[in-house]
Amino acid sequence: MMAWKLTRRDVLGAGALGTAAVGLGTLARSKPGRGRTVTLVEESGVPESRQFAAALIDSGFAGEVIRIDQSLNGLLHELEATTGTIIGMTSDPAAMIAGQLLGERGAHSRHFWQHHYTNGRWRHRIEGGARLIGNTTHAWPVAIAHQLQSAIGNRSPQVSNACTSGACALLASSPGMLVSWVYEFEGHQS
Amino acid sequence: MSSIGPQGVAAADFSNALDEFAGVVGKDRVYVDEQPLSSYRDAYSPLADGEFLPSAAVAPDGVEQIQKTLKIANAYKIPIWTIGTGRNFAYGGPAPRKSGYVMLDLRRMNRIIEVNEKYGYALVEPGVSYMQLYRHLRAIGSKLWIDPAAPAWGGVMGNALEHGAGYTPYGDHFIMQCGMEVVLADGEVVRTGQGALAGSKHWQVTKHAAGPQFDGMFTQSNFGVVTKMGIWLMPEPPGYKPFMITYEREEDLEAIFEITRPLKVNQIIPNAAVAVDLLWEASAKVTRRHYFDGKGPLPQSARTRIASDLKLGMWNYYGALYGPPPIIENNWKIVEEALMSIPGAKLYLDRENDPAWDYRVRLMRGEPNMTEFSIMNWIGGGGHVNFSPISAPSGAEALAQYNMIKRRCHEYGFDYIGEFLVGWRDMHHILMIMYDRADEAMRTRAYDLFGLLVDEAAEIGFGEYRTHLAFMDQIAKTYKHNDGALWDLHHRIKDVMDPNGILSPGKQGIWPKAMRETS
Ligand SMILES: Cc1cc2nc3c(=O)[nH]c(=O)nc-3n(C[C@H](O)[C@H](O)[C@H](O)COP(=O)(O)OP(=O)(O)OC[C@H]3O[C@@H](n4cnc5c(N)ncnc54)[C@H](O)[C@@H]3O)c2cc1C
Repeated sequence: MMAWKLTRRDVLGAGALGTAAVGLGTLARSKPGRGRTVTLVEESGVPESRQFAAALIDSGFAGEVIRIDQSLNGLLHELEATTGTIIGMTSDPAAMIAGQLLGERGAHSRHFWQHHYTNGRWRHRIEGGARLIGNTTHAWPVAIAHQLQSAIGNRSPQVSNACTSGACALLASSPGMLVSWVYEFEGHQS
Repeated sequence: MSSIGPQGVAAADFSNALDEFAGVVGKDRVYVDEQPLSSYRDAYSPLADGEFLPSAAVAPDGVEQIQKTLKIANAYKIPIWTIGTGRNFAYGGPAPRKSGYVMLDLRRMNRIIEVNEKYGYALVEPGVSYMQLYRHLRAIGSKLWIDPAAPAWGGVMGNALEHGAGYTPYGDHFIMQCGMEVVLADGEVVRTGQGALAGSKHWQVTKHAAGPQFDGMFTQSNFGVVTKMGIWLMPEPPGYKPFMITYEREEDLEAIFEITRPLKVNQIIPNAAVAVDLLWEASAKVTRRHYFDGKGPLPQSARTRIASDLKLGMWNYYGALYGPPPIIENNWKIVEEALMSIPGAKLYLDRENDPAWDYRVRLMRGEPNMTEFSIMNWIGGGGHVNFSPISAPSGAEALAQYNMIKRRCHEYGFDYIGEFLVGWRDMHHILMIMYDRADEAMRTRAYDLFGLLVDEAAEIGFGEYRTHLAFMDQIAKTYKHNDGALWDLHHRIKDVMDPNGILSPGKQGIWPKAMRETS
């Protein structure tokens, strides 16, 4: 388990950490509010989680990154003292553990989107337009990262949609069911 | 504010009680709003959402605050539900047995009161987790090991009180427990064993004292609130040799445990060795949908492919030897010869890039981790409930249980995902029934399957060692000897010790008189 404290500047200067996100510059992005801490949780053994995290790091959205390995122990050690907004795309069990730990500390669940591989397609239950994911030429976790970033602070009804791209595969190390989630501690809402 | 209230308590009384609780623990330690209360639900529940939700939670910081809290609960006859670390997932998580109870959340009481290096024990409060104790021991340079259950966030006390298990030679946690301090329903504080002798230094070194031994009475029960508990810790051994053996055929289970029994009873294999089925083992690395996207149990062809791709057996046996290297080497010869005598057995002393091997090796040397949660990726959708019957360490019993349970799982459309864990003279069989909670039909089938298994297992003489909240009553009824005399005894004790029925009503099917009469 590793945790890095990254300043916004470090991240922006780090180059194309998330190359998959290149070309998404036209998307509407919500900026982190003044003084708000955004902590990103990456489950490093999960390819979609890495893509999601890279996109948010590249866009300068995340201020701190918590990387957890397969032991998931990092969740226990690193979520103890988080404040502000915590965001991640993780496997379902990691999302449950994170939600439990953050909820107990008083964080509010703001968004909880599910991504589920079934019958040869990724199916998404998310808020906002289904079109983006259907049409993106980028890896879907990258599109989700940006869509979720824009959704923070603007809740809307959830919609379901299935991936229509030609390349909708289940990677060997994917858990096949993922959750992208956002928790916020009161006083830190965007 | 939650809209739920405790059954039979007038709203005004409840409101007064909450004010009085706040007077004891502080307003910020009485939780009544939906957000904090939502963390007391069972995220994996086999029941529909909205069941087993508390009305409020109170978080005391010490014995005196607990005494005062119980006094208020008695005055208003408010049912409270005690949790330590509250991680009892697969058996109900932190949720109460009935909606409306007030949680008695002891997580703030997380002091490690003593670590005794010389005699190998710790004295802890209810909120101390495995990870916390492990980190503390490492921080103080202790050479003692802990014995964690698979979830590192579980509680040293809560798990032992539930008769939980770990994987080192100290794997039977209730056996390794020594000495308790308990607050009874009327507020009286009792110390068990030598703890009752003023000035005794032997509270955590012996379970024995003059008179009856009461500790067991406060486990899986609702007779008191345990506030301190001693736990024996294993001194780090000079050598450790973990191993894994894969077995090709399902029916090898019988031979595996016929061979294991003498090794275990004679302490040649000192730890809680386990035989893990193919899919439990595979699910730490791949998911079902990587092999099969249809409904019903995985076809045999897919099972064969998984076994071959991941170099696994239909059973995968983990054990370890501990002690001075010459003793390990000597015992290893006996173990290897015995366990490898089953045709097709393959031995592994290391496995690369195998998270299941990694976490098991850690658990068997007392290093807490959370890796086992990843097996929930097998189905996805965050539902699972453990069916946990006991047997003797007998090959024939293990195979009989396996065949009966697997057949029923398949009939109900579930994969069999289970393991057998051998103790001093017993065996725990853990079946993980996994379901997608969003799939209502699947969740209901899981519930029905569980209920059927309880009765069928009981008919052939197998009882469960522990269970989920939703099945506590049903399981209590399977203990039928002499017209249910054992639960009658529990009820007689309950009525005397907790006449207002405030402590965890319904825990393990033990209900206070008033609730027995209305049910
Ligand atoms: C993936 C997975 C793997 C698991 N592996 C294991 C395993 O290897 N071994 C195992 O044993 N379990 C296992 N479990 C089950 C469970 O998660 C653990 O047993 C866990 O340790 C129980 O939760 P806890 O320790 O936080 O106990 P708590 O939830 O704090 O307590 C459990 C119960 O004990 C009682 N209690 C607690 N504290 C007190 C008190 N102070 N006074 C009176 N009563 C009290 C209450 O009835 C409470 O509901 C597993 C679960 C999952 C999901």
